[in-house]
Amino acid sequence: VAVKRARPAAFPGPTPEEFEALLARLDPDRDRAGERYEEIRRKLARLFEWRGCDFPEELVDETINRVARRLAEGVEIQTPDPYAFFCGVAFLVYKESWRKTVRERQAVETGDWPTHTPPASLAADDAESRRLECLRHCLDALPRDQRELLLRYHQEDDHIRSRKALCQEMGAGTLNALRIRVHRLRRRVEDCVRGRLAE
Amino acid sequence: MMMRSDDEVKLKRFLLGELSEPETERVERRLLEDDELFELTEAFEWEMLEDCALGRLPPEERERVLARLASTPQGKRRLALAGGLAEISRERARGDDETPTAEIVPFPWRRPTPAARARPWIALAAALLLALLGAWLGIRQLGDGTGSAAPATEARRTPSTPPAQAPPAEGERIAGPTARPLDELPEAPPPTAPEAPRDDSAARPAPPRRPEPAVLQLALAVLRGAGGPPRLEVPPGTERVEIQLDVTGYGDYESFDATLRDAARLEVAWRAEGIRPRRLDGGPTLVLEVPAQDLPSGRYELEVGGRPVEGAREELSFQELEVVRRP
Repeated sequence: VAVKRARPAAFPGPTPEEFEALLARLDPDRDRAGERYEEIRRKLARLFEWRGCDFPEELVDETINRVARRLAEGVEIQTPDPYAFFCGVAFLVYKESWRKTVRERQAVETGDWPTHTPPASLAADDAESRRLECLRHCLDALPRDQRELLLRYHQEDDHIRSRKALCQEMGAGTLNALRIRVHRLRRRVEDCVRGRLAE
Repeated sequence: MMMRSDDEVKLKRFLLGELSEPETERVERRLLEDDELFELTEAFEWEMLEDCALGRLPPEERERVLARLASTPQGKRRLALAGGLAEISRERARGDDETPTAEIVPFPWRRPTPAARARPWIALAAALLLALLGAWLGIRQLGDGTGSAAPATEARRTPSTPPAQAPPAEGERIAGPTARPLDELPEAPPPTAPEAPRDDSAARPAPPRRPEPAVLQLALAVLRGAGGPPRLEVPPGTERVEIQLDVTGYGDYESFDATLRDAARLEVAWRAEGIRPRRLDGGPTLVLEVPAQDLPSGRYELEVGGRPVEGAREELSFQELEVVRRP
């Protein structure tokens, strides 16, 4: 039985004091600390996603809350960098979430629940069509050379050979350098599509 | 970021959930610490989703990718985008789209020319020469009792033009952000200034004091570090912003262009073409003079291109910066 894990209950956010303690630990400069905070949030969300969590943002909130609370309580972080501490807390949050999911799955599997069938996919087709439209728009919003790079990177059938050739043609050094470059462009397009879909 | 050949395999196994728990934790920690490795992992993820969307994977592997990377709403959205991007790319490659193609030369700084290979030595020689010249000027000034020489490190932080700048002579005025050509600018003020010819302008009131700009210095070729993009703080009342880019070793470019784009909206905030380097503190420097009002707080992408004496425009740099306006 395919079960969506239950959305965790909304966690109360950190108090202003807890949040300040967290920022202070990230960087003495408050603005820089804010940037690092945002970056850590984004990365944690992706790490939770890669672990297969359905509601990564909620787990990030919980991780951040716990870290902030511990810091406000005056807990000394033993590791030289705060990332390791975040990682440790995130892992605990993940394990708790996973245990809860397993319990919920067992409850569903032992119960006599009607199978949920998603409605017909007309709405899904519309959404897909709109997404493609937004994607075209966002691609066209890129400067021409960047758009061409992105499209050329993705257009060949023999993509491995063609990307190596593209890499040599551009003197990109390594394929990974090219990958990162293209990935940054993709992220911009992805953000743009998300923004337009939310409008 | 150092990438070993087996890292790619390991990162893909990480994405598919095939690593042991201790290995997974180690990789996660490295990903939190290393921005570029994180980006590379996201790039691998995208490639796997793209392969999946285009049917390039054997059924068993496809199932693993779908289960691991496309089971969440975010993953499904990425899968759809990966497929959509590949579809549009192929459409346009077939000529279904009329968008003209552009020459792409995004990494010219990775192809060392003979001049580029000599760049560090030229820079070192120039730095030594400047240090000697600076020391000599400093000694002269101290000896004359006319003031003290500014430390060289501070000189690089200063605006390209002094705040109370006299208006340029007719013919020196250059519109927009364009600066005077490299060879027209003195490296340093002459040790003894010749007596200025007396004219009527001396009797005129001093020109209005030009407010000091907010200055940010950058290099052209950058690797993103873990500390976020460089930050340009704009104090209240600032009228213009100067972004100074060191272009030592880029002498084979006749002129440069620069575009500042709002990173969130992808809109051009400021653009200039035909920019020529100035010589600041001994190094050829592109000085981008941007009206401060064009840059509200936020993240921007700075794209710099160069036009060689012969040949097409080349993209030289693409980097992010953050503008913070102080209340």
